[in-house]
Amino acid sequence: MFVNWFVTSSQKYPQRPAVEVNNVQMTYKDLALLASKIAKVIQKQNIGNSPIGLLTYRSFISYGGVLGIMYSKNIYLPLNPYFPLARTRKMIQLVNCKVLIVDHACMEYFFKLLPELQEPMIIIFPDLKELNGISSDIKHHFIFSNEIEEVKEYEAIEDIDDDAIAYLIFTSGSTGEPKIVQQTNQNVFTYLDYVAERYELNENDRVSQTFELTFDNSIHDMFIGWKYGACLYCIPRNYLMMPSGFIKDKQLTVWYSVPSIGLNILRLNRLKEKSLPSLRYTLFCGEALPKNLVIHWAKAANNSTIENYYGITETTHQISVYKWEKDTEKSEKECINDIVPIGKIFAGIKYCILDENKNWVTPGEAGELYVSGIQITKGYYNDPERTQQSYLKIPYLGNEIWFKTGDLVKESANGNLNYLGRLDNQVQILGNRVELQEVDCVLKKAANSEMAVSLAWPVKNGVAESIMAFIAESEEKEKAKILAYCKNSLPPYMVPQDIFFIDAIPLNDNGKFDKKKLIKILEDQS
Amino acid sequence: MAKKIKALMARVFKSETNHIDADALRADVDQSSSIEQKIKTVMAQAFKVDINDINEDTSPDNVHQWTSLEHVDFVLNLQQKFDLEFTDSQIVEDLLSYKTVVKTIKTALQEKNSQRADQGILNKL
Repeated sequence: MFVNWFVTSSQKYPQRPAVEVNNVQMTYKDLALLASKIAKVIQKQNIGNSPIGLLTYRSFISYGGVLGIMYSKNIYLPLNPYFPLARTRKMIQLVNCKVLIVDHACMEYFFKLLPELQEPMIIIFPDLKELNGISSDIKHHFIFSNEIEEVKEYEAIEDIDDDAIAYLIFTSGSTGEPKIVQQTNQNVFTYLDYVAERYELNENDRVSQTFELTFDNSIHDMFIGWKYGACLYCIPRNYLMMPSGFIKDKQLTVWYSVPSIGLNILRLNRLKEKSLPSLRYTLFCGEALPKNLVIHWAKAANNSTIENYYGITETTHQISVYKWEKDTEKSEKECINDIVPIGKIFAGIKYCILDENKNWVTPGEAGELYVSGIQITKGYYNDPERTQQSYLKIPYLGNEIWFKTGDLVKESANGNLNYLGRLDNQVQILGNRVELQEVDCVLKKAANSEMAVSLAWPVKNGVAESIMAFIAESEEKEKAKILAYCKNSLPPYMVPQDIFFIDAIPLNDNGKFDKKKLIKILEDQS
Repeated sequence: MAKKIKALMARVFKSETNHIDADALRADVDQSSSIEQKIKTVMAQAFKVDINDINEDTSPDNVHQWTSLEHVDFVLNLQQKFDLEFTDSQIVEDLLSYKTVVKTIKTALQEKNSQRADQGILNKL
């Protein structure tokens, strides 16, 4: 079990740093004790195997919380203080979460959230002795740091249920309702165990943490680093805009992010030759990876292996990987539309590429990717209808359940896959998969008009930068109100960057909104 | 060596450099409204906000369009408009609110003017 990787490293390297947050390090021993302490207070609540909300932000409590919830054999539900209150409230309600862990970094947000919490909850504050102005609450039970018993020991966990859910991740849903992906211990272990073998890390490595906890890739950084006794460097939010200075100052050896962050560094001309020599491994995921970025990155991070991962939350992180070959032209030639291949599907995962009638495509032709295996999740939480649509049997392939990715791919003769795009309305913004219909749904409510549509624009180097919206039957003066409504309903990366008010939305021959014409409008005005 | 000469010259010509700095500062003060206006224009364009809505507190906390991609556009446009090159820490720490952007740019322009003045003295020598 992957949590025990951390325990083993804590016993082997108790005084080595496990994590650094805002220039302060915490040792393996202290993080293990913090996690045990949090686990103990959770266990005292006698709630069984339940979702525990983690409302923390890039703090020691974030990591102590993840580990502590896992130690206590509960399910962690990552929450994000940059998400709208309504969404957080909904996340808590949908999974019937009764316990929250809150850190001091999220207090301002918590005070706004508190009146929205309708059901009584147990709220644990591991780094707060009191709440100014609120000593107790009639409805909720607060547990402050001084009420949490200190622990002196920690040990490996036993009797782990492979099928128990490790955590819940919310993803965008086309009906306007988010989908809840449940990753089991076995799903996560299968993934981590496979990728951990790819890297020769040790206790001197310094691993980046760019991802938010609400992005499941954060688990990769934590446990791959901790397995080898390395230190996790939690990158402050503002540094994520342009982190090359951070990589240099901290001499990071492992970098893992979405390509957009790398593109920011490139645009600001910070990828100078041999400027990032400390990096040994660079991993990208979550978006199409532009060839141009990798060529520059390879020169700057001259000692680094560069890999491109592909996966979806439903497949439990990544399922394929492509290693960039620096010194030959081979990799450059394997790019399609200047996008780096997503590589070969991991051994242990079955896959097939099918046409719209679920028949195999001719080798080398484009088709939809279907995957199956123990790493793939089994279905959405409490959502049989949408589970049935995406997790299905293919009669001539036996009884196995296949996950329908919705991604269009093409397999080359050497077994590498190239990602060609989506078959539906899903786009990727900063690595987050966004169903545009979910945005449309909110726009329609906000504008009180059915004539509202969103699209990803601009797309530069194969990467969508933001969402733009068009609305008819409304007025420009409503813009601020509509944007405010979106902001209160959607995570930041899903909020339209701008809204264009037009007399009528153009339709194509099938009577659908003509997105090509709308993109032309955007291109003409830019 | 060049640094040493510069420091020495600065000390020798203290009154003159002070005078030049003061001149540069006056020029900045005279143009300060235009510096602020220029910053507001770049900001309004980058983050698609109304120029009249920009105030001292405008920051990523209250402008949802102020994402990392737009921040990079903003930084690049500021560099171009004021002919400056920002450091890594300025980009991620100082250019994150209207108030600190104004302060950073004024300081950077002053430094640039003073460097030019120093360079002018060295050239004369």
